[in-house]
Amino acid sequence: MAAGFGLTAAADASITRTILGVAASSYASPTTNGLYVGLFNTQFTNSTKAGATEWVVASDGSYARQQIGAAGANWTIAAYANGIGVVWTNSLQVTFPGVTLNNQTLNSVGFIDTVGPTGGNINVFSDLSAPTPVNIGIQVIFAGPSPGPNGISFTTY
Amino acid sequence: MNVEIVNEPQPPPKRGSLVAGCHILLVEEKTGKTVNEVKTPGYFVNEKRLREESKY
Repeated sequence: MAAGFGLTAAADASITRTILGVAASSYASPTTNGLYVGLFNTQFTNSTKAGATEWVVASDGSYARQQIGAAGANWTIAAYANGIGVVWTNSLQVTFPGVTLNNQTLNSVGFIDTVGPTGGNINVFSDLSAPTPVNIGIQVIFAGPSPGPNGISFTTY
Repeated sequence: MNVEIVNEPQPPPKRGSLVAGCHILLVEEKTGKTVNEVKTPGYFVNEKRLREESKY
C-alpha cells in the first residue's frame, strides 16, 4: 500500500464531529501537554490511515515518545498565505535516545496527544516511503530551524 | 456575426488538506555523526506547496 501523510482516520472523524458540534467522540485538543512524536515500524498507509505498530520499550530499551512542547509550545505557525496555506514547523530539535537492546525499523512517524508509553490519540502521521533500519546506538533526530532544515513541517491548505 | 467571448471557469486551486512531512536524521549517539537521513513523501509535498505560486 502507498505511503500516506496527514490526519489519521480517527482524527478525520473526530474533527468532523467537532466542526458539526457533536459532543460524543469529538476531537480532544491536546491543550495541556501538546503533541508527542512517536516512532512506528509499520505504515499507517494512504488508504487506511490507521493501524501502524509503534516501537516499544521491550524492544528498544530507551524508547519513549518525545514531547514537542506543552500547551502547543515550540511550534512556529505562519499566517495563511494564498497558494500555500498555513505552515507550521517545530521550533526546537526533537531527539530520541539512541536505540538499545534490539535494532529497530522506522516506517512512520506519528503525533500523539499523550506521553504513553502506549495509548492516546494519534492525530497526524507521516509515513516513510520505505522501511529504514535504525540500529543499536543510533538516534532519531528531527532538526530545529538552526541550522535546519526543520525536521517536522505541516501545511494545511 | 457577433462573437461573445466567455471566460472559461477557472478550476479550483489545488488543495490537499493537512500534509505532514518529516526530515529525519539518523545520528550515531556516540560520535554525533549523521549516518543516514530520510525525507518522507509528505515532506516533498510541503516543499512543492511552499515553492509553487498560486496559479489561480
